[in-house]
Amino acid sequence: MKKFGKLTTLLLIMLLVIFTACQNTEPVDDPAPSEKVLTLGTPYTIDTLNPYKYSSDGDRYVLSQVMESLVEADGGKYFPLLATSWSNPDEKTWDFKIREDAFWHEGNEVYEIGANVQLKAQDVKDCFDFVLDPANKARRQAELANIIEKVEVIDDFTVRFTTLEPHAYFLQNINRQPIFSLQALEVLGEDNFSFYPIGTGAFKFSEYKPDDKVVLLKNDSYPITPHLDKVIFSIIPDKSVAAIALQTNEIDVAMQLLPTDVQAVRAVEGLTTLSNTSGWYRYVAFNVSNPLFEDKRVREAFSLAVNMDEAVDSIFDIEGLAVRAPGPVPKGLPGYTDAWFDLWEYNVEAAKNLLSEAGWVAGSDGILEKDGVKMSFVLKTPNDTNRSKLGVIVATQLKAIGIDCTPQTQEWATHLEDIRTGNVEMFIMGGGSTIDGLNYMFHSKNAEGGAHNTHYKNSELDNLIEQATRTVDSEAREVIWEQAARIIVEEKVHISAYYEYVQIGINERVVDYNPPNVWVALTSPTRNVNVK
Amino acid sequence: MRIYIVKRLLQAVPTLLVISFLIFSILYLTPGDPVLLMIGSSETDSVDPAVYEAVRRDLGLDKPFFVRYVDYIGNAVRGNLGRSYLTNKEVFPTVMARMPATLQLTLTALLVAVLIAIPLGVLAALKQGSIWDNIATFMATIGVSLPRFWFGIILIIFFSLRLKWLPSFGIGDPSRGIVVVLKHLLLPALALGTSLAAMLTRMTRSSMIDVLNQDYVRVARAKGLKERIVVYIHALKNALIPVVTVLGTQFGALLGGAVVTETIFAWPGVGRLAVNSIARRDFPMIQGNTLIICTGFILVNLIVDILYGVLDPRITYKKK
Repeated sequence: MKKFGKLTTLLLIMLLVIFTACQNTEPVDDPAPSEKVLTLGTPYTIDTLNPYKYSSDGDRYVLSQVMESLVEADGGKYFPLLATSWSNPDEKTWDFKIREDAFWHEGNEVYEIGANVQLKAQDVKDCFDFVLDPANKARRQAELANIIEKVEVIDDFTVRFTTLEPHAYFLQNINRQPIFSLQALEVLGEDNFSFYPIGTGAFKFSEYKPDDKVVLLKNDSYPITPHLDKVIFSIIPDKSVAAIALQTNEIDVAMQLLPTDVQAVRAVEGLTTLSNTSGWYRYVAFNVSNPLFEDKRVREAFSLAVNMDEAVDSIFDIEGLAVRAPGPVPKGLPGYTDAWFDLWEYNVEAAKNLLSEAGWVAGSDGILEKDGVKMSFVLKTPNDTNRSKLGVIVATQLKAIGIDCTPQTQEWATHLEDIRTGNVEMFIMGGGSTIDGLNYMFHSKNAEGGAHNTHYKNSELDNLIEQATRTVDSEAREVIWEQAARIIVEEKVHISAYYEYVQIGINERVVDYNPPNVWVALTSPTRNVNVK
Repeated sequence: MRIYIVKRLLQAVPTLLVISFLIFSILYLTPGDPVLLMIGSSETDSVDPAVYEAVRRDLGLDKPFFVRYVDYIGNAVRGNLGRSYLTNKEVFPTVMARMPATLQLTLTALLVAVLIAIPLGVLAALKQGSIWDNIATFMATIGVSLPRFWFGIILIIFFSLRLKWLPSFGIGDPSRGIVVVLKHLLLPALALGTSLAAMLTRMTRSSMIDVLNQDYVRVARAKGLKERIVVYIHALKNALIPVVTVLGTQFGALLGGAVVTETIFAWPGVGRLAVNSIARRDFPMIQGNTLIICTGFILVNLIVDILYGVLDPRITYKKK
């Protein structure tokens, strides 16, 4: 019996420990009283911190704090980051002056404390040469090699890029490439380099726990002293749990709230939500190579049969989450115009007439048919709640005019492959929400085999996109961009649906974080985030 | 006994071969292109056909199915499970680095399940037909029926959001002390262990009722032994044999359940690695992860079989 007495005592001790453990929740880390710590809850995995192989948003969020690119975009405008200024001696030449106070992070295996190794123009050239070399299998090699002809050092602090053609989006393209130390790569070897980023940014890498967190510490030698002592990226895959963690003060920022959690977060005193600056474009697309949708009249009839205003209102019943999209360029980006709204109409009778004009008549079962082929297809949607709802609404409205449309939600990887390979008839997708989005979505060279493959080819559109890409003058480019986007609206390649504004949940003790953007360093010439 | 263990280990080889072939085939047939997910998964990416082909060739995805499978098995028997498509890190150390977190969670869930189930099952058996029995049965039914993801969220809402007692996510940093570790462990272990606890409660109850009606128990009582000794020494030990069997087989279910639990509680274990790898079609990581988990499952079952002998000396593993 003594044995069982001991067992009972052990159980009681365990229960006591557990009970003691059950005290108030606390932040992810124990900060020293004066330490300023910002904890961000990210839903994205952090696969690698390798600056030339990174792939997910999670990777880029961290890299943006540790490494710097030559320029950075914040609030839709570019500002110098590692560069102090840039100029164009001619349309194909970009000269960047480099900061003279940029030093590689110290206190690691590569640069010891007090090493004071300066980043110079040669480092920038070496970094780009490395990325451009196909042997190094950099993720953005093909993209940059299509733009950059050569990189030259003019003097210690001036680097010159020569582009193959005049390129309006050159700054955007180099902005995505952080400048890294080839010496670090050599000393650490690729495996270690991929999980120990060394840069010149405002925060130094401290710790990476796979699938758990990344910890960064203030870089005291950064020219702008960061207000934050420590930044923690906590990886929380379930967005609803991140919303709870925000409410329990375990994190300060939930990078992406589910629409269902927005009201709950807003209702808590001391918490608020912020929207991202430009909305994410969401659309219903046709595979125009499919015989059902080759005829523009059919696509136009579909757009007339869908009451998109009502659909968007019913999906987003909370204000500020999304606005109706009239075209493929998000509101606020160059090229957008409200005038596109005039090109959309909800008119079921006109839709029926157009379909009948195109030869589609109702069969005995009420479903439209032409030459023995029924207007019957699947509308594929990604597994995102809002876009799934959109699929159901669109299918229901199309059914009302004799179109047998079946909505089908599928997992992201499957959806992506189906679009790429053309295994879709109609599909719902999103993206292209950047200043050169039309290029990715519609230029026949890029769209084919990509995530926006509608199989739509139009040489006039290709020419306009190329012309805009070559036009460095922003005002002239904006006009051309609008013309290009108008073709898509008129041709009804998409039924534009909405621009979705990602909701970021944030504790009001965090200051200088607005406009919310973690791709921009938390300490940079445009912001210096702090916690009260 | 030694021969028995060696025999069982050898039997594991064809099992693992079949499993590896099944995983390989399923992944081959699953839609979703790992190359596209590597180089063009973002909504603002375009895919250069030349780069696409180069990456595909580089990963060996252009080779026929059987060539790839034979290559894979050839490397696997030499201890090389390949490298992740995404991170280029070796699969084996990547999975093993996450194993302690998963073992910590599953073993605690197992402990939680045993701590709940055995006293409750014994109580229900001793007080058969009473209110205690009904409560135990009711809780067991509820426990089995709760979906893990739902129960996990409910636990977080109640204990983290409402009561603010326990953290809502993550694994406790051991450098911050045992209390922090326990606080982080409690909710996921409870979420994971509840359905097992429910099943074990039912199992213990029925097994105990069966044993309590055996002649040797009656003899023990007739000898005038105290009821506690009869129940705990004579009856429970024998009643536990089927329970241990279930524990062994359910360890695999716990590892499976860990996939969901780890994702909800942001627990950095092999289950979460599996989910991430599947979403990104990181084939080597999925295959390696599954093989390692299956090997673990086979070993646990072997340990359980050996434990029979300890619990019941009548069971021996003699050479036939």
